[in-house]
Amino acid sequence: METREAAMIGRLIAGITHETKNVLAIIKESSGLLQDILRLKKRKDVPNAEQIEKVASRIKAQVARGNEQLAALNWLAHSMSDRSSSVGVNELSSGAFNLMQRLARLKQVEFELQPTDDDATIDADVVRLFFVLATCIEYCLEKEPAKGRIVLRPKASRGEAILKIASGSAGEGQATERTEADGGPLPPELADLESILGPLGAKLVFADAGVGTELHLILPLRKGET
Amino acid sequence: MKSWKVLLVDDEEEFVTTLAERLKLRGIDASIATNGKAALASIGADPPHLVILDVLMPGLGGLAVLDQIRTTDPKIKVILLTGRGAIHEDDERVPPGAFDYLIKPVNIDDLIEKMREALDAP
Repeated sequence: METREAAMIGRLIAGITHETKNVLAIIKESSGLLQDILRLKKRKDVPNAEQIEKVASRIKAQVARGNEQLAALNWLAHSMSDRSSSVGVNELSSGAFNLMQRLARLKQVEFELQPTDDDATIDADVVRLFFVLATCIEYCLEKEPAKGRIVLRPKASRGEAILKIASGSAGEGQATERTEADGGPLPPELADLESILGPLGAKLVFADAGVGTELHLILPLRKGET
Repeated sequence: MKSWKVLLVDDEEEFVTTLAERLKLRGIDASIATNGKAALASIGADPPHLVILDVLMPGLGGLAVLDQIRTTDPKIKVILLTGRGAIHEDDERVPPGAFDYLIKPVNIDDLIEKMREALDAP
């Protein structure tokens, strides 16, 4: 694995495990609070049933949150260990989305995924694909100011998967169809992705839409899939 | 312990809310802030004896808040909270202005003991 890929995956794992520790901290305090309330009952203090219900719901919600985080990490780990060579457009997008939510939250940027209704399969090294997509998302997040918005909008059409990442007002409205001819040169932060894009049969189109950045990652779909 | 006035600062609102409830059940006057800016406003309006401060928060981070507290009211004791699994070798030093740091999830008895140590310190 390239150093840059390893660093990216390390950052994501650090972020998710940090988040999971927050989840555990909330569960720990919530269960501790339940114990506190029950101890009060022993002292003839009537516990507040509403409060107990609230704390129990909080624990359940945090378990669900932790489960989502670990599922995202598990998806990446399996993609790496199995050397997965095919992935659904929506699966790839939601994997990247789930793993990069924390970075968006830290940057105070709203991050939205708009999955496609017409899912299709991409045949390529999934870890490399993920790395390219995550790098593009990270680039947009870095450029977007606090309170901004990033949209990840995958689409499968005419034998190609197009994963559009749009920041700022460029994220509004329908997906724009772009080709290589529409794009400008890749910014320096993304330029070294070129060496990965070629072997994947992928293209990356960069456009500064004036109202924000658009990145279109274009990949061939599995033969026979539209 | 009843006279302790503590501000809990963490962007994980449910964490600070629950911890504050538990501290209040133990007679500690605990209030919360869920970002650095709100923490500084709260400190300015009603200075606590002690601040429990998360290091990594969106916007104004814990270390920036710590710097501000050092400048404006160095008498306030600060204990840092971090979600990191382990402190790197480079990070073993407690940042200037902080009394100590604790790693999340934290045991409430350990936290109260640390708070006591901080408040007893000169």
